[in-house]
Amino acid sequence: MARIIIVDDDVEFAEDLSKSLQQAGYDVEVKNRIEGLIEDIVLNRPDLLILDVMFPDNPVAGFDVARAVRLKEEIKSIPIILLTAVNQEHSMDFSARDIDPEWLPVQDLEEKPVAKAKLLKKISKLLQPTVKK
Amino acid sequence: MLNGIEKRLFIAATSQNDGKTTCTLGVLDAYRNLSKSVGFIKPVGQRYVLIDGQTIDEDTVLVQQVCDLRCPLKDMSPVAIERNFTRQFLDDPAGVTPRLRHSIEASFAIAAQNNDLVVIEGTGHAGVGSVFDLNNARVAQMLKAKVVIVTLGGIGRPVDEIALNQTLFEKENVEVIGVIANKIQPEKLEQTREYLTKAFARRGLKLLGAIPYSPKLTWPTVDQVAKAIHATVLNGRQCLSNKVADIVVGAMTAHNAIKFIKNQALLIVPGDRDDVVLAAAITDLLRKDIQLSGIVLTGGMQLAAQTRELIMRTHIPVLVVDMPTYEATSLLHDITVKICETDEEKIQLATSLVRQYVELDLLWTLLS
Repeated sequence: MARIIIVDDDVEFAEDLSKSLQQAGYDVEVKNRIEGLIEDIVLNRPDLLILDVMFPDNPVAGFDVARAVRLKEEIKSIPIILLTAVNQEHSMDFSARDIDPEWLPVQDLEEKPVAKAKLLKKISKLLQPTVKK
Repeated sequence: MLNGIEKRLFIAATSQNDGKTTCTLGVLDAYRNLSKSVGFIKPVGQRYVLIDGQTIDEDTVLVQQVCDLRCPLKDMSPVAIERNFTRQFLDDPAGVTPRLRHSIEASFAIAAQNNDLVVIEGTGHAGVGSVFDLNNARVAQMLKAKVVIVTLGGIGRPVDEIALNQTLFEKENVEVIGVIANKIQPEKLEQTREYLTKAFARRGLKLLGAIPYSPKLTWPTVDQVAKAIHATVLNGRQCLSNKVADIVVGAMTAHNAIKFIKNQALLIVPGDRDDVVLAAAITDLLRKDIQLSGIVLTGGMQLAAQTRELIMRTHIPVLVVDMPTYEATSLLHDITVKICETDEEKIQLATSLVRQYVELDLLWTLLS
């Protein structure tokens, strides 16, 4: 069973998404804080990360986490999906077009709210080459 | 005190934005601090907000916020001139005028109740309201008030304008007891005071105050800027109360922009000038003596994603508009800044200016 970590300070949203992914057959863990996250990821080695962007003390924390993951040898290949409301709150127009191996090293960027079927399809596609369900 | 015994001060002006509200706030606050009980009414309002379904004049909301008066808001703002009001009046003058008069008189009775002083704030110059038979002079006469006229600094023009306004009040048998000259260039304060005293004395008027120009009262907040140019806020919502002391148009190289950016400046720059925006943000972050008020991105253009990310790490308010830089700059040049109820710094400044520069003891005596 593929393991996914959801990182989002919106507890309700994260729990709701977690239930949906569990129903789809994934092993899901939810983290609501950034502190100690990289150590957790190293320890737990999830197959995929779903990351929020904005956190209370850092409006672009998701970008920072993605970069930090890519710098750690043992976890740098974990696929990451950014799932964010940054564009609604800041009109910043971030999109999948901005993905860049150096600057924004993630596999996908989706805006909240996302259709569950669409997200599940993306997750499945990202996990396909390495994980057999 | 009972109605009819309280002092009644009508604060008029020679034109809009001369400083009526500044003087009203200052006078109310000063006498309140001298243990006088004060009331307020703005009989006719033109700029209003909706509160609990009622149209309330903006200045009334401000006065109530500052002075916390014991009077229903609607009685401090009985008549709001809404859209189409003038046409409605002209269609039925005989019906509308008595209704307005009754409304003002009934509200005044409530606003005046148990007070030593009622300040009545006018609207625009003495003649405003003539189109519906209730100009400032007529209202002052109706409420048996004495008048102080606020005018702008200078020597020739204020005297000319006061003469015109005084004539209208005199025509209604209303006594003008004095003048407050506002927004006088600080370096000319003493000279202006001396000559205005002489000039008004020739017209039987006392110069009750000469208030120096205080630029801080005219500084808009970034929030007011955003509303004036219908901007979208990209960043820094928590800092929209930043004051704008200066406007810098970023039509230069990045290193030259650094030369022009001053403390509390608002940078207006086309949205594709990441270089200038980054130079401004760095200046804000690294120079302790400079805090940028905000940035306006024009032309409906968006910064590069990398620049947007860096901007999000700052508290700098960033606004975006579709209009070109010239149009945004022109609009902001002409912006009229009214003191709003959330702006404590300006309220403090306005009240302290009146306390310091208006002869409140003499005014109190003249109101007897």
